[in-house]
Amino acid sequence: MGRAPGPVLGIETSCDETSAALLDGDRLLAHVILSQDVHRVYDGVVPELAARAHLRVLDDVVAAALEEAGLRLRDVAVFGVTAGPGLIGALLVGVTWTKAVAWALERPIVGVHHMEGHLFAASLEDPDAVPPFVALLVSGGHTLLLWVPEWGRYELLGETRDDAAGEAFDKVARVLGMSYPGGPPIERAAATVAGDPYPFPRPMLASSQQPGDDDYYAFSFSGLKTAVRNRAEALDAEGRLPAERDAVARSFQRAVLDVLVTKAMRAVEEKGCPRVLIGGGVAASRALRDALRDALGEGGRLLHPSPRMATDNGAMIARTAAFRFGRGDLAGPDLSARADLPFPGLVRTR
Amino acid sequence: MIRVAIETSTPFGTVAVARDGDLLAEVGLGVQRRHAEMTLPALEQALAEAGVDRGAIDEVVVGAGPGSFTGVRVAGATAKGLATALGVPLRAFSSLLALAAGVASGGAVCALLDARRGEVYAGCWRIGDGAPAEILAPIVGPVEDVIRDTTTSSPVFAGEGADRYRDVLTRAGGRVMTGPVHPRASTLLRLAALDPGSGRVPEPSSWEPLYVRASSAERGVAG
Repeated sequence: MGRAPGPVLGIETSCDETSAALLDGDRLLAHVILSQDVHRVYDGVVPELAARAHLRVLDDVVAAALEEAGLRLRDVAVFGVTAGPGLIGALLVGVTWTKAVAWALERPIVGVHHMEGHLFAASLEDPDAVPPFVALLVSGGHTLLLWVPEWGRYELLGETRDDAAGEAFDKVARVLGMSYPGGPPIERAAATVAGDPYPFPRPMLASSQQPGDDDYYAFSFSGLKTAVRNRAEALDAEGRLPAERDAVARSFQRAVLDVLVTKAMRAVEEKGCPRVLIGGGVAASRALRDALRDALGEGGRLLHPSPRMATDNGAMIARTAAFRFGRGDLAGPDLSARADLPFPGLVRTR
Repeated sequence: MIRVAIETSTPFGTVAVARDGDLLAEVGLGVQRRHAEMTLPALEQALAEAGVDRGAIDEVVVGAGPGSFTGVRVAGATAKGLATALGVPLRAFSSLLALAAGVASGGAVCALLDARRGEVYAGCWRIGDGAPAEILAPIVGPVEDVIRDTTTSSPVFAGEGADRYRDVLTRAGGRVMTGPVHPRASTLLRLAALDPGSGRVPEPSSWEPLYVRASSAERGVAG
């Protein structure tokens, strides 16, 4: 893999985190993440507000990262920016700003795929987090199960057919009157209850499924969300929802984790590789990490980012940009953002 | 003094380069909805036509909006990035002023852009040989409000918003410019040269476009 000839600045603005990081080789020199809190008022990310906030703060976020690293903007050798997927208005702020800076300084620029960034996140903290591995990328926008024999080669095993896993957490949290984002409050509530008090259906999961079946690796969380809502409404009608809220959260989380873990373990078995890497916002879930570690057992290895590196961040974008730069995957001044940017190197084998 | 200007608040986007008061090149962005992609290549082309190196840019001028939310951010993010990277001042003028100042009038001009939902973005200035004098600061609202707020200055109405509401304006006794007028980067450069003190942005890093209209989420909560 070719190396960047100096510090790489990674910029991330695909959703509601404005982030910048400086990476020099394997050394993370600086990393600033500003989470927009304006969206809490609305129980979810408001795209227009996210875009406005990115433009308001991006210069200052980059300046803070440069100061932390003791560098000036013109010391940056390569610029990397998330070009998609994500909220188009939010992405465009990062892309147009970074393009202008790189162009003004006559430096190369790399447009980075946000989910490839999540694949690289764990490797910033764990030198062992390199392929081969089975990758489970779970966030508010995506649920992807990949086989990664080497960087840049991604075999898509399964993805969600409707809601992403993180999205299901957010929606269920709203049904249960919990705060946004939904993962942390559901995990806290679930930890106060034992067992599986309200066993919900495990979507796309049946013991009769065989390798090669369409749904063997596929995910679906929309029906589960509806089942939770129906249960919550029934409990509410009986005045029991406040008392049973944590139990419902517990069973919902168990259902999601069961599906994620079972499908990841099917991939482990098929590929004969007991290494699972997780990435994306849901990778911050301790319950998910514990469940995967249990499933992998003694001989297996769970590779995961810290909660800070699991969230959307500029460090993973810088890391991915360095990899793509080494491959010669450079963008020009006509780089744009795409809400549905295709995953580079992704192959669908089924 | 080399200045570059970026104006992408409407589908008719332009970039331009000037030396002092002289326009050296102006390039249109062409296809609608591709401003994010085309702004920098167009600027590259304008500089090439002008025979100016990007490192020679002394000042960046931006059309601040209002207009398309995404459009004003494309101009804003590009201008902020250029000013930051080159270490040069950023100057901002309302895109409505760029529109109004593009009209040869010698009187009051009211710039109107269609803001959809039955509303217009409007701003009015007295345009003469010197610096424009503001009559109505940029607002968003029904065209009837604009007519009411400008009766004493009896302006000429210009811009695609004036075309859209030509009948209403004419019925109310307003004069409407014929032919299309747009905010242009070249007009921004003329404004910047006219009064070197105008439009200065004291803290470019935290500068934001002139959206005028709140996001729909905020309006929902407020109302």
